[in-house]
Amino acid sequence: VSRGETRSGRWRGALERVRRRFRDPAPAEGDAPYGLYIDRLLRLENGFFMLGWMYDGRGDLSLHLESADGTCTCLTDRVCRVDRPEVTEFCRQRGGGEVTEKLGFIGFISDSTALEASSLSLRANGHTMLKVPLPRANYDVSSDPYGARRELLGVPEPAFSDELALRDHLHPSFEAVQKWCARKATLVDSYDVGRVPEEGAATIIIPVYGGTELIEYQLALFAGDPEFREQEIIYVLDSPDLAEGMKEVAAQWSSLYEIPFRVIVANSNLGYGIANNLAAKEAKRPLLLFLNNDVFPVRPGWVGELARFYRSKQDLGALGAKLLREDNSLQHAGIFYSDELSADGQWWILHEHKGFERSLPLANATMVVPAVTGACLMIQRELFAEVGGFSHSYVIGDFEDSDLCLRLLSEGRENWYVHSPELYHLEGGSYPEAIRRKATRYNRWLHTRRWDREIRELMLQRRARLGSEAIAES
Amino acid sequence: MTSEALRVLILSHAHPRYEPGEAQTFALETYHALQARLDVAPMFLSQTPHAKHAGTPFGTACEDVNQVLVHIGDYDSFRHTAQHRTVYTFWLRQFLERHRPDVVHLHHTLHIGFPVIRIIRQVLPRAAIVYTLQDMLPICHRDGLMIKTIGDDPCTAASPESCHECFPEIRSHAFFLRERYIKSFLALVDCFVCPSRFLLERYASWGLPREKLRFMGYGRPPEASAEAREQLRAGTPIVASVNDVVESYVQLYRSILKGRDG
Repeated sequence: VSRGETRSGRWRGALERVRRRFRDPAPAEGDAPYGLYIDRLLRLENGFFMLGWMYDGRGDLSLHLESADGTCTCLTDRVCRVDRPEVTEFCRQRGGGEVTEKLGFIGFISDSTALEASSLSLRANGHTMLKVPLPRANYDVSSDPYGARRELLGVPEPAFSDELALRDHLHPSFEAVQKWCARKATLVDSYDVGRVPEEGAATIIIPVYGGTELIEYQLALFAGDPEFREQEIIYVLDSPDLAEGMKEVAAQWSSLYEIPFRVIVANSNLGYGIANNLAAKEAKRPLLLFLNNDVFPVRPGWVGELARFYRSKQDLGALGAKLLREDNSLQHAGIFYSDELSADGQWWILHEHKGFERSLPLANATMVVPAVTGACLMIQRELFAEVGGFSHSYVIGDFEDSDLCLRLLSEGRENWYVHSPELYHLEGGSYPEAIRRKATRYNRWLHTRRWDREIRELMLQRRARLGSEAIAES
Repeated sequence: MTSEALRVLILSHAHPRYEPGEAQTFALETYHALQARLDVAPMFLSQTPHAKHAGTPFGTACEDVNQVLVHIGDYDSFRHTAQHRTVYTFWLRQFLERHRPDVVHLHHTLHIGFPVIRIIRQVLPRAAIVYTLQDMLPICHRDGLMIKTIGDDPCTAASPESCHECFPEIRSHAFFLRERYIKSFLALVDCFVCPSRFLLERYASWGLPREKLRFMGYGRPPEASAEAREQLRAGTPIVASVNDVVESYVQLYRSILKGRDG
């Protein structure tokens, strides 16, 4: 089956679903058709979130929320309209002519009427033309926040680049959902393979998502490093389905590579921040080293090197290392930000000197940087707890590392990049593309909203420094 | 060294009796040649594709108690690892603990897997581990040929990118990891025997330390090899020319072990 066929198949399916939900016009002759449907309803703590569509072929309909006692609240200006191409196409086929307005809507409704509401209606001249009872909630955030998060990530993509949709609807909904994702996070299993030693500098926390096969590669490459007999290693399986068969194979790996480690299993796919926070609570060593499971050391002795550097500096916040891609180009030498890559004014997180050769002199210096990547990030355990760990607000993950570093800066700490320990970071995405894209859009928006002023200041300083370096060189 | 005979375990990826082939034939020849010496007590452990018995991966090849077969089972032929690691962590560990050879000479690890080297090192930290590089399998996923899949052009160096060109369905990351993974085991070997200078140079440029690479020919004139194979298959081992090779092997083993004591 070619991609085109699949897509047109899906399209037909979408149209069919719309057809079934479309209400025929009122019997009065000449009346234009109209329709109203609620696709998804999520019960949040303080209200609800809905995704639906409405079609007003008459041109005089308004959307209302009705409660059993007859109270009626107009929502027309309170929902955010989003493009729903499949609904538009259907209405066009039904003879609605060229439909220009956006037919979909999303709404985060949080006032007192929301809790009493029983139906949604289309009204004209004080008459109810069409009434749709509010469906049972697809998800209740307090019982299944992970399902609710999945539904929110199912909202059509255009909403994620719409400032109003983000600010008034997606953000308050995600805030409620993420809070519950963190609150509900627990370990469903925890076990040691091999004897985890009592002493050692650091607890290495390695979140795993998507698959466990990289763990063995990591262990094979850690095995050549005597330091790894002493470290406390915690693999966090960020999804219970990864745990199947893991216990058995983990014991074999630990025996073959002579590396003891702990495996903890999260109750659901929690996302980077929440999963790491959960693991940090289990850590016993004075230093934490957050490490991605696609990071592989170039040489032995690197954990000790990072730990010694960390202890040598006062007021150190987060410490990062030089990361390389498999072609020996630089992957990370500290973080910087830019708002020039898109017109939305939001900050992108970028890596200094990414793509250049590993011997680049600019990357071969140890220095203070605004932030470092969470792919390999060392921080004092107590400090991490003091600042509240990673933020749980970011969906799935990606921006927690920068958020943590910026929080450390605002607490008067310095973040450092050291160039001598080199590691490979293969940077493989393990989430489906569309989900990842939407989460990133939201996270980027949130990160900008939280840190705009601070980042602007940091980037002005960076620009000044680049200018003076250029002058010094000429 | 004491006057006790040197215990040498020869590990071969196949037994010539079941799977004829150059590398295993030569490995068995060296076993016979070692057996003829008074100062060496050799064993020949070879992989077999078929399990002989339930409840053990081991089996016999003939009436020689020192020729043992081992069945590895499901095999990951990309990174060359047994799917069930217990064959290393339980069975082969037990075998090594029982026999405690002074020397393990691996002739090929195809269908055995590279992790066998780690278990040898784990059980026998002081043993001499010698690995004969028969071909370029550790470097090249195309059966070690180092010939590009497109146009059959010769390949000069493996890299994640160029290997991905040969196998578009395998991500370049995977080749990067394959190389690191295999090298993590080869790092535990004391000496690599290269039967050709060409091979030696390939491995040196791949990153194996030059001081561990040793050129040592098979010790048979090339034109005699077909005949030698024939005779071996008929049951008469060719030891005449292989004796010289084996002599230099024994010297190599002793020098590694002596280096350990010093």
